[in-house]
Amino acid sequence: MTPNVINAPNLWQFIPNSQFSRPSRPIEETVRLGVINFVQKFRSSRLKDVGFLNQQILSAIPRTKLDRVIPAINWEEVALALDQYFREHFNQPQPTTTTLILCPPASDLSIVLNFWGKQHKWNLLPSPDYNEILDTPDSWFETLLPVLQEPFIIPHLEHWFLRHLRGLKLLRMLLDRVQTSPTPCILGLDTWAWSYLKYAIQIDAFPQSTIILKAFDSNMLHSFFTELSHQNYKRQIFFRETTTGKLVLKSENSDIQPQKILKFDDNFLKNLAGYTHGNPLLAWNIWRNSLRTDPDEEFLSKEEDSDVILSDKRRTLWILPWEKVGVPTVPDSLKLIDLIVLQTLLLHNGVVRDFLPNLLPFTVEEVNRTIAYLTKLGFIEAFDDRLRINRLVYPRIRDKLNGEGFLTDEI
Amino acid sequence: MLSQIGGLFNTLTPNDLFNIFVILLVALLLFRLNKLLIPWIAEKLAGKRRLQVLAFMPIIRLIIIISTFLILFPKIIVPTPENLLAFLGAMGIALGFALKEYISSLIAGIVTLYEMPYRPGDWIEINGVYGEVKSIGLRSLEIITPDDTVVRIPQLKMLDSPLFNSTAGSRELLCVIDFFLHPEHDPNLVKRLLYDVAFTSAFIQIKKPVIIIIFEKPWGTNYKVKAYPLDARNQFQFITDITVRGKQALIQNKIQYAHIPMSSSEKA
Repeated sequence: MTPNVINAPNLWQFIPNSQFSRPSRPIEETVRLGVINFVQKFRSSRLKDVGFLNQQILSAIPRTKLDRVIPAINWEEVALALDQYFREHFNQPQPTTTTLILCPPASDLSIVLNFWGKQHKWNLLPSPDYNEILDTPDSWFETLLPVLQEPFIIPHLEHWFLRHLRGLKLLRMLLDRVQTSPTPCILGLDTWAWSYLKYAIQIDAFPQSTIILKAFDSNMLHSFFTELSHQNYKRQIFFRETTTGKLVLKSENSDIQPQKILKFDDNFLKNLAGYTHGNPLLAWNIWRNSLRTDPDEEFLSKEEDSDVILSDKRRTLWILPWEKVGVPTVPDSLKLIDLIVLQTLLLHNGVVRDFLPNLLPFTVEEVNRTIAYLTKLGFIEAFDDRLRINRLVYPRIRDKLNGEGFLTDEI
Repeated sequence: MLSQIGGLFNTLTPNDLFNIFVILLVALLLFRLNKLLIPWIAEKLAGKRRLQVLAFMPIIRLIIIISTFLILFPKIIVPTPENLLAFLGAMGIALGFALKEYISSLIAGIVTLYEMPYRPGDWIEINGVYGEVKSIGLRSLEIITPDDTVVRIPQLKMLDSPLFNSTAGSRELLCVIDFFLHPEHDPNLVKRLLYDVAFTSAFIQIKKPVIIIIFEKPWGTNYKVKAYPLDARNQFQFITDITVRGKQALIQNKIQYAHIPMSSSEKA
């Protein structure tokens, strides 16, 4: 019997930036974190403060099975939501020609922009390299002018500037051009860069529509993960919490015998929504990271999916309790240089490792030592040719920077 | 007379002496603990909370002193109204002559606690001494200068000298960075360059305004960049960063620094 597909409301929705509100953390989690942070302030040693708390109660899921249970996000759906927005936007009497899409860290919305651009045959502009930003912005911009006559998309506008005394000129030139041109364009901009550029070049004063993906609260995450789990399996998969045994995703009654009716607890999803600030891709990463199987009950294979006799245990996956999910806390021993490096990586959505010292008021040796230390802590990872913040730790790092008075994004 | 004086004080047994000794020892330990523990806790905290915790230090110190005095006084002095008057009168004469300055500073310290013209963590300047207030005693306060020199200033000085407080309980401190340029240049270009220098500093508190003021002098033009660092303790790194990168920007754009004429005695 096929489980009823939950008729989820349209999950993906682009809204004006002014209407964005993020899900809040449950009070119990805020108190628990506050106690942990307070106690950690009085512990010594730089590295001992930090460690992943993964409890290997159960086995990790093999990658192939994990990809079947929680497949990749279908970006086509997100592109449809963007389509919906633009249909409404361009039907307005005097729509702005420039649309700025704010992309939270670890949201990968540039994939959607690339996809949408190819669908609608808009020019996708590549990002300049560092030399072009600093040394030859005028000549490089000249070469772009013909392309700017046609509708275009810039998926990563945050890669068009540098926090460097010569790093703002190119972006100013582009925005001046966009402001005066009737050619429509879509600019994808990281939320950290947006916060910075509001002060540095008053980017919010340029005429534009600024939109952002609506945050996923716990209900939307529930729908999201349920939909994903139905993509490759006809029959229901049960997701249960390891300590309470309760269901984390609601069950379909048609599949459960009366004596086995299990209670549902949305605590994990509420914590997940609050922790990730409603960022669905970040939540997806943590969700996958939290799944375990019972080593005594092998999780069903693709061929066994239709087997009605298969026990519920074979189609059960376990979720670590929120406090055991294994996201490290940020130690109090981080120095000013550590925090500045982290903030710099966030402002630029990743920086090429060898170029990073050019953006910092420290020596190359100091920066390399800091990179090594932060990588050891698990706060920094290499991605393509750039260093970026580890997505799982990002919310904690953001909280730390915010607490120390650094500029952070607004979501 | 001797018997009258003798009547002022309690007869102290060895046990009483021991108790007094213990009370003084405990008071001393609490003093020490206050001096060590509060700054240690404050260092673990960020920004405004650090300053709020440091503000408790002098208050706790005062509480310890008053409590110790109230506990010891009836043990040493026979607590009758006549004895109290006699004791206070004698104290007043002795202190008035011998410890006038000390007591004045002490009273100034108590007044300071009430008025709070500065707190631990503030950056102040008084009598040409600039630094961070480390601790506030009843008699004097301790300042750490940028050269890591500890300076003790009697509280009495606070009452009769002008006091410049750059932070006044907050973590924000305005830094002013000067550039002295040759008069022949494009001021709009220089303004734009210096704004970019400020806004691209890793140490800047970007939510606070950046202001550039220009003064024309006989020998050239003085640009003052006024901006805020992340924290008052980062002020020197911030000033250095703006100065270095400002210099780079000006040189790259072929803007000359002013040549200030010196007299022959200065040249020598």
